[in-house]
Amino acid sequence: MSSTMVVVKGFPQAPSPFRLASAIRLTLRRGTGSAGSTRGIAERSCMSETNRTGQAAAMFRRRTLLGAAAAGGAALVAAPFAGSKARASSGTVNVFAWGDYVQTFNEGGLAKKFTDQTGIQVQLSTYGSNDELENKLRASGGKGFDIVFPSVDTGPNYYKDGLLAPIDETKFKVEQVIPSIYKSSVRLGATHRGKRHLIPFDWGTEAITWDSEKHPDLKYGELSYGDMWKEGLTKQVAMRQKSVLVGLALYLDSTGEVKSDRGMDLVKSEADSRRVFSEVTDWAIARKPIICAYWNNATEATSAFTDAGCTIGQTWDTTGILLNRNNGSKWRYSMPKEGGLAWTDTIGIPAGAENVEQAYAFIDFMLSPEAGGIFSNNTGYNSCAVGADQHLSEENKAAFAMAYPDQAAIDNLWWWPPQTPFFAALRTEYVEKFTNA
Amino acid sequence: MRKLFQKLGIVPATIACFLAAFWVLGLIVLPQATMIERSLWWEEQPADAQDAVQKLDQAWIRQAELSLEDPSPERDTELAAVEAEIQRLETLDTAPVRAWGLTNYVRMSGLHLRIFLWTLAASLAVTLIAFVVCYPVAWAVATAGPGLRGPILLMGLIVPYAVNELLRIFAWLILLDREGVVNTLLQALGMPGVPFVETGSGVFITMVYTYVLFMVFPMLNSMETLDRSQVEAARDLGASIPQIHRRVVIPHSRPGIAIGCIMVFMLAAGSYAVPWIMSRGVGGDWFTQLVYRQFYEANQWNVGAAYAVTLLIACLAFVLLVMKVMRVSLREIAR
Repeated sequence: MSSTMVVVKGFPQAPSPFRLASAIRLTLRRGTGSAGSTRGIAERSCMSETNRTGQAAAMFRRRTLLGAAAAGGAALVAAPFAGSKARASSGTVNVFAWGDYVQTFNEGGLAKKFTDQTGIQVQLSTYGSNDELENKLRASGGKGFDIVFPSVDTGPNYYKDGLLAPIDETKFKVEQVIPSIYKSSVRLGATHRGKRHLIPFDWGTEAITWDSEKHPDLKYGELSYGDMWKEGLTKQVAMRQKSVLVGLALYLDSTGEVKSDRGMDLVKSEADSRRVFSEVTDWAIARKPIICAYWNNATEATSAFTDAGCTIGQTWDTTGILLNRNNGSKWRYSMPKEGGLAWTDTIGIPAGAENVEQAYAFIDFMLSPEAGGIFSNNTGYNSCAVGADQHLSEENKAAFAMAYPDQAAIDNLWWWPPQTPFFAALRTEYVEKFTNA
Repeated sequence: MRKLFQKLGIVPATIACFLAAFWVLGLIVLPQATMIERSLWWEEQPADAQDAVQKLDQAWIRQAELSLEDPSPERDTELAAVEAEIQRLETLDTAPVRAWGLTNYVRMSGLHLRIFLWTLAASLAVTLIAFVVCYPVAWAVATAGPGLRGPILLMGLIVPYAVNELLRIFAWLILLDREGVVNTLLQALGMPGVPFVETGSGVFITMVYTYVLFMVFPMLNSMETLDRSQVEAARDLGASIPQIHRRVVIPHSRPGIAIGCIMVFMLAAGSYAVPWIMSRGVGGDWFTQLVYRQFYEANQWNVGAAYAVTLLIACLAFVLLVMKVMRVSLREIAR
């Protein structure tokens, strides 16, 4: 039963009380312009119902009334909830984080440590994918949260709509971030028009998780994305559509079947991207019977192996590493020779953040060596904090050695390039084509 | 209006007005109006403007990279060149233009249209299955003695529905999963497993189960008002059981059946959680998932809004169709 509960927690639609409250606060604020005259509008629209007959109602009058009604609408809708929750006090920071980070805040004790050190309360809400984070922020106009953790390559999607505030580099300890990562994040999308918006927080990969009892011949060095598409794997493979097509593009580029400049054509131009996606998708559709389950977040990825019976798949590191740690050492996770898909998650401050000072205090805390170590130990992801490696558990070091057996595994990583404007819509188109083929 | 105020007094009448306005605006007008408004426009950016924006982004990234490097004559010249390029690009007008029209409604691809039609057909099938399942149940409850009716209703129908919908869906996932309870039992009995989740049949089963109650109660309501002596009279005149139902019970309970069908169809066509959880995406998409994806993954909110409005129109068409087929008027339904 406990596994069911976890799944429910990961369900993106589940409304958390906090999220609801913040939505209400937003509606209220939007409506304040006409809140004073709420009652007047209510009466007027009531009257328009009954006095309709015998009115030589000019078109324009009705339109004014409609306009006023619409304007008052937001206030009216929100009015019954007024006063149900006071504004967030100055001693809180509203954190919107990945579902797979929750454990490190709660059981890992990071939230409590932060509160003990600074007196600031942490209000935690979660999301399961970059798209979810992006569109929740877009829906609220960048309000409601003080800290978010987008992947660095999705930065351009936020910049386009002005959803993130520029980072003031004098307000937090820049030296706490590993300098080479801080610098290279520029090329991956952390800055916009010369201003930094995202601070690297952790990095990890999406590569291959497999059951070494069912697939004894797989090992690092020869491991390839192609191993997931071999014949005879009927209903064995777990994947996330939108990234498996990218892994496959890398494989087909290396075999020469579909040339894509090691995947870079996917973001180069719409025409190039369409060519690669289309050929890769057709290749994948021809081998569709291998699919066992799709996943969209870390919880689903784990249950694809534990509940749905998959034996190999493309997953985030947290899934493979935690399976290996908790469900038996037969589960392995490592980099294919084409290079693991590497991501960097960053900390950003939304444009509408209310508790900016607290947000910077939170950033300083999260990038301290100790917090970085706790984070890594709990999630299996790698902290970008200087000195976090001093706090790693033996378990975590072993997991790292399994995932990246040598320096070449790291040098060979494929870092997600910054997304270009056409990318999201185009990728969704091919994901749907693949899913429904 | 004046009558209302005279009848209720100023304060209660004002409250009634306020609540009515809240209902009409908040629950009907505002959500639909925003959706329709959004579905009617889109943003256009000429290809060369898109190109310029991309170049500008690249130039800024190069600029940021260069300014982090140690100064050297080569770096300084390149930095100056990049900054000049940035200045040139920033003078170009690249702002997207908002265009109005019905384009979002006609952009549905062949694949999406197929899924749309399939979703409607599947919802119809769910409605029919729910009707077939519910009719005997409703009739049994309606004709059960007073001592029996309470327990049947409570234990059989109300208690299961007090459980949260999501939990019930997950319960079915546990039952029907590839290594779930049903398949384990089947295998223990030496029979081959059934791929409920992979084929999408799990979605059907769960949906019928989840929305059955919305069919039972309206039918029950109208069956209860049937005068029992009519059934007896029919029987005395020699009508068989199917004839009694066809000629007496069903015609009488038309409004209940219509409401039940409308509710189940609307819930099925608009359900997101059931197809999403019960198919793990492997059993193919429902139209609601496409709508979700237009908003949450493809970043095309305007197209998503058009899809949502299209679904709404299809559902309204279904309501009118059912009313026509069952020959019931709005007034009968409201009763």
